[in-house]
Amino acid sequence: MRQDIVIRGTTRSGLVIVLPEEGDLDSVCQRLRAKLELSGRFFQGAEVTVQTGRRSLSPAERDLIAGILQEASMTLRSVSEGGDPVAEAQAALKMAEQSRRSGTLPAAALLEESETALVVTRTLRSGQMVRHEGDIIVLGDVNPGATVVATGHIVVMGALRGVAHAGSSGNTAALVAATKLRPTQLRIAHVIGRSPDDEENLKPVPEVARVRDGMIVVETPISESKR
Amino acid sequence: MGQVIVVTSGKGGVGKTTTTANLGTALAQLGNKVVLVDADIGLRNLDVVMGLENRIVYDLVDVIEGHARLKQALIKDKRIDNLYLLAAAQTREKKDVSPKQMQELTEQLAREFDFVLLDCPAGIEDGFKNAIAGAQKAVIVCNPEVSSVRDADRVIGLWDAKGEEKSPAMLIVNRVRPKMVARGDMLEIDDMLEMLAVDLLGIVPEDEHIIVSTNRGEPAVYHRESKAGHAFQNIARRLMGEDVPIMQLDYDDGLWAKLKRIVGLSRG
Repeated sequence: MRQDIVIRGTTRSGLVIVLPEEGDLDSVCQRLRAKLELSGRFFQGAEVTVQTGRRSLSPAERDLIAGILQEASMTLRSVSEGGDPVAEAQAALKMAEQSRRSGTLPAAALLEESETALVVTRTLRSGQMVRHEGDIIVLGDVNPGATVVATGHIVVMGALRGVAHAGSSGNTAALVAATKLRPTQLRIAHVIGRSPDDEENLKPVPEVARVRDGMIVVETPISESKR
Repeated sequence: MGQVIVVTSGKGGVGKTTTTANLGTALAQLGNKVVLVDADIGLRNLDVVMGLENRIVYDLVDVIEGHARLKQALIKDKRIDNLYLLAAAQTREKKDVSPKQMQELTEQLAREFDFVLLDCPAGIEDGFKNAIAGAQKAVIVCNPEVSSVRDADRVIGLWDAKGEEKSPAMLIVNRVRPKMVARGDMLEIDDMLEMLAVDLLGIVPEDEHIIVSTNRGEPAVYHRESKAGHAFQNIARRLMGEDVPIMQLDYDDGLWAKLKRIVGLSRG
């Protein structure tokens, strides 16, 4: 039932405009123009990715759409064709459900917008693994024996006792944060750190791990701001 | 329909079979019709712990393969009339049974019994998958030590991933030595619960009666003086929905401690 034009924002790639797959392009262009006019200058300056689904655009048609966006002071960054985003998202959800049943967690990289954050709303137990292209937020604990791998940041609203690998594709600016940071091992990009063997039993405070001078350091954001 | 409960742990040697035998006996003593199913095919033990080894004619695999009817294979306990055992096959392997077959078997048993207790083998392979296939409830047995807690966590994760209709896992902390916990040499039960995030079904103290009773083939719940037996009786009542407070373990239970308690010197 995706009849109409959908405009949505994403965190990193700017605006995404999804064009309907059916109907002739002229009427779609008219509707797009009308829709952009309605929104006034709201989208001014935005960089846009246009998704056309199964419809494929000729260079001339591409220019036509770029022109319409230009009129609204927007720039066309890329056109992505092929595949129905909704069907793909549904397939990804189905796969995620299947992998959940088999004990592993969503390979949400399958989702089309891979740069968004994956929110895991449960505790990860030993033997379970979450892998995601983008950030991962865990609302629960990460127990020993569980693994979280993200190309972006990892935030655990709970105890991180397992292994976390942030910035897995080489991003050393990635962070690992947890309300109770007690990992078996921490990895950020290519840097590996582990918890001290003599675990002091301090009262847990939220902590952030990041790479500084080629080493993983753990800081408490609260005490820093007080200083 | 009765309840089908799997007793599992991941790690071996934590007391699954002892728990199954004692819980089953306690539930039967409380008037329930109970059947114990040994799902540890190839390494059967439950019959020995129950003292019924010499009565086995047919076993679980015989029933599944159609060599025997279920009624023929059910072994009646020698002490309690409403307690039965379905023994595991000793000469076969786990993969001779499929999860689907186990599910059908437990469904059939649940129609006749109030409680179907499945004694799960250690590990998380075929035998485990068979045992959890037909269960709606899981009792996780765990010792207060790190490796056992780790395996319990793994098993709880697999149980959660089973989907379908089933209730959350329940934890029994077995073989607790109060003195060692008090000294800080054993994991604190609160810490275990915090990590595993499941409901506590009961705490069972380490008890020499267990070894004696296992060797005699006589579950500890028959022994009035056995603390572990008492703990299992409480757990059985909790499984029946009764609200029984968790037993407070005394750290020092000598005559001296009792005296101190009487004169008000002890924390007990």
